[in-house]
Amino acid sequence: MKKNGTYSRGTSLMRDALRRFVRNRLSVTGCIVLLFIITLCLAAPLLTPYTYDYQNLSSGATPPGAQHLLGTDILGRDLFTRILYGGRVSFAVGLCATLVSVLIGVAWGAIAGWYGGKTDTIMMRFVDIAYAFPFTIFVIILMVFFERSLLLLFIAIGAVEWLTMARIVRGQVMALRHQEFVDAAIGLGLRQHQILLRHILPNIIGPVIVYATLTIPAIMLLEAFLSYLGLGVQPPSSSWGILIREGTESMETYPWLLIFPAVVLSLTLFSLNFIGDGLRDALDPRSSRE
Amino acid sequence: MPIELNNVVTSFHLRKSVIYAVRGVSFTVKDKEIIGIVGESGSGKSVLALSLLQLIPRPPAIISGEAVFDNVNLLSCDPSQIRSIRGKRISMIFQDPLSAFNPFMQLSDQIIEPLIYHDRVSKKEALEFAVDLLTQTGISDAHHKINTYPHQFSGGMLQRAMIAMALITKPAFLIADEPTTALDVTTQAQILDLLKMFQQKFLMSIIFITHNLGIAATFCDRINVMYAGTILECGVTNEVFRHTAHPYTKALIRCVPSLDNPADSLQMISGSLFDSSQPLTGCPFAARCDYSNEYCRSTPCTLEEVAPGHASACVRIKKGEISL
Amino acid sequence: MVRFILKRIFFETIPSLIVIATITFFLIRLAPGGPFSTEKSISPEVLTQLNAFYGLDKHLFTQYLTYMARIITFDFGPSFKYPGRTVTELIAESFPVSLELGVYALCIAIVSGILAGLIAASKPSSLRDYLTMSISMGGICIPTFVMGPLLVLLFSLILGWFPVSGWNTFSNRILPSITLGMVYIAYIARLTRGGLLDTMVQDYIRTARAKGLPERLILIRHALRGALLPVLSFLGPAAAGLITGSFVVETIFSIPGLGRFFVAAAFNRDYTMIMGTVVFYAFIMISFNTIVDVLTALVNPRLRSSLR
Repeated sequence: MKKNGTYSRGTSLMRDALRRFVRNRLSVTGCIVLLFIITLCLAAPLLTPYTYDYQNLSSGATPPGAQHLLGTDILGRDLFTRILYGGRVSFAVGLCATLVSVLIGVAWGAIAGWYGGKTDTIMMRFVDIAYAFPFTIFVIILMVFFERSLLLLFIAIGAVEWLTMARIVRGQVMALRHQEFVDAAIGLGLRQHQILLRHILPNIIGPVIVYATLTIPAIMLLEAFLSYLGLGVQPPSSSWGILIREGTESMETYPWLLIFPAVVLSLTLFSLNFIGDGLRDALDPRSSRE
Repeated sequence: MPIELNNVVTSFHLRKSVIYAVRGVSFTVKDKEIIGIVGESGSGKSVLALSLLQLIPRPPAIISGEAVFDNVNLLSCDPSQIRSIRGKRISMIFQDPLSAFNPFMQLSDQIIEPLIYHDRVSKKEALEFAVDLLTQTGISDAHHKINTYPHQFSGGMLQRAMIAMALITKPAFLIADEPTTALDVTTQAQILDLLKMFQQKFLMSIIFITHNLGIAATFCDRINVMYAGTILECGVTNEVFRHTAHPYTKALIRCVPSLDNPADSLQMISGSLFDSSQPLTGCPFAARCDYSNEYCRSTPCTLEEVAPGHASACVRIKKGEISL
Repeated sequence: MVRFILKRIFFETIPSLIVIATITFFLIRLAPGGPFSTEKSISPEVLTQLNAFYGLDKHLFTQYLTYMARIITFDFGPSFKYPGRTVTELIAESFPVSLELGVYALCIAIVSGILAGLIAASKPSSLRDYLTMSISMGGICIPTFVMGPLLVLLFSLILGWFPVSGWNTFSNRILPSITLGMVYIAYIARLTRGGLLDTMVQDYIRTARAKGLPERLILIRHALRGALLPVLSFLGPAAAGLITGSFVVETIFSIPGLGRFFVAAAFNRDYTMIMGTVVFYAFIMISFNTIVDVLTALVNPRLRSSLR
């Protein structure tokens, strides 16, 4: 209570979190860099006269210059263009696969945590076993043995990355399950799915967002890794993983072919990780000590 | 060894507000004296104790004033100097023994640490001394038990071990911050006896912090009653209890459950603690005091002697307007 | 403790391995194509013979049962693509190489990660903190398949300090170990820093200060033990990462380790080799997790009783 009978307006949790996030210089820088890269990728057709598969063998392997901002590869394809179009693929894979993993993970974790008992034991047992499964191997097997399509790539990667999400959500739901406002909602006669949707989900959104932001770079990394092995996106399409693979093949003679894609990928991963860290500190005040 | 406190102020400077935990405390602890600081939780007594050894993180805290010990101002001396005093000449005992011990280290290593660090004693010698001291605190089979981990000890045993740890360097001064609060009543009495015994043996001065008036009455030579970061009454223990000179002290005494009169055994002081982010304009207890008037609320109160060796901050008592 | 381990083996390790082996078996068998489908020159008669030799002509379920029965004796069968060699032999030959690489990488990661965490936590929210954590983040954000070639470019091709590839001498092992270890420096640094910040606000740290110990000693003697528990539990997942990470590093540096064999096996649809490596990898990961759990309990005095 404050003097003069006025009450100070309580800062809402979200506004508080936003203020903490904005104060974190690293994550704000991350946001700016990421937005810049995404904008460039989206605006690719406006920024470059070439297409990603336009070949001009007579100007193959040109170093960076006025004609080709970041140079060209051996087939004379413009590297700048290929990085931008490749970025679209990399971001698309990152976002879609994250979405898949969030959906599976949240549903799995919420059901296990909510029903508890035998359901929980069986479902979490499955997660435990899956954890012991060498999953990168699983993705490699999938990609080798089945048709290499982008869709399959989304599913394969999404199926790998949901385990931790399920564990986090389950823990949160378990903790919420036994709190009084949930008992109150049950007492009021709300249906279970109503309670889950209206009372539980809003409360677990914070950790889910944080973990999802940290999943995106992990998935983009996995995509790049698969493309690097030749199992991901197929040429002539480009993705950052493919560009890096092509770059390493000729890094002694044409180092820019490795360095530029590598820098862009690393910058993106840095930004996403800093944003994720910033969000975690902002949404979980306990973890941000001063 | 005496300590002289002079206008000690500890405040915490947060982004939007300032919290005054200790608002100008002055008193002297004489040689070989046990002085009690009594008050409710939140009265600033623990902060005062921690301030004396610079154990309050700065920033956010700012400590000003003087606490003179052997010609050194404890509050402003440099880090290396305060480190050479901590655990060597002034030791401290904490409230919750289980959390005060490092759960990952054997008791032996923790107990001998001050001796090895300050006096460069060999580990073997230090261990012998520690076992001897532990035995004196009443732990049987000490040479065996010293090699265990904190969680294997009971609260009372751990508090004995903490006393041994604090006294292993034979300090001249001891600050005991609610050393018996986490213990059950029978253990409390044993720990108090133990402290008294060591006080006489090592000729120590003790600052004894407690919220329990009964314990303070039996254990301390003199008592300071603290409220909202200020001292409202101080004096020789008997004097304070027999001729109480502040309404707050009186209220505290009434709160002590008594077996003689079970009917009013659950007394309490109504109202809540003074807001520590507000500056002090009058008596901090005025809002909860049955005797307060406008004058109390607007006049800053200072400790003044009401009888030899007995001072009170209550303006109305000092003026003789009321008697308790 | 023996009972704890036995319980883990019978109720967790073995069931998990059975499930994993089953999933992998049917996954690769149900996929279109076979191990010999890429070699177009094979005549139908030879193909029938080959299928008979490897038991591929029998019913899928019979094959599954035979395979599972064999696994129990650690017999992973003959390799499809390396005629005359058994999978067990190939694993026994190549795994020690991967293991050595992994151990070096882990040592590098643990030492530099803990050091970075200590430096960062000694002055939280300072420039020193941000700088240390950002640099160590590089290990996560610069993929091994970028870091490896870049290190080769700089240290082998330009400076000429280390050989480009191979696994014969000690200097062969430096670049691959650093490349693989880099990934974990960031995780370990972060866990160490977080753990230290958590412990530095504990009451027992105040006790240590009240004893007059200097800050550095408090950090190392009192805070580090508790702070390293999360690092220890991370070593389980780290082992998993080291396994998958080693594919790339082994490929980049041409190291004859298990990872390279696995990738080759996957591309060649070498059924038995794939099965063998998957089951073996899973076994390693589960064992590592069990070891880490036991270690965690041993280090934490309060958990020691849970081992009984």
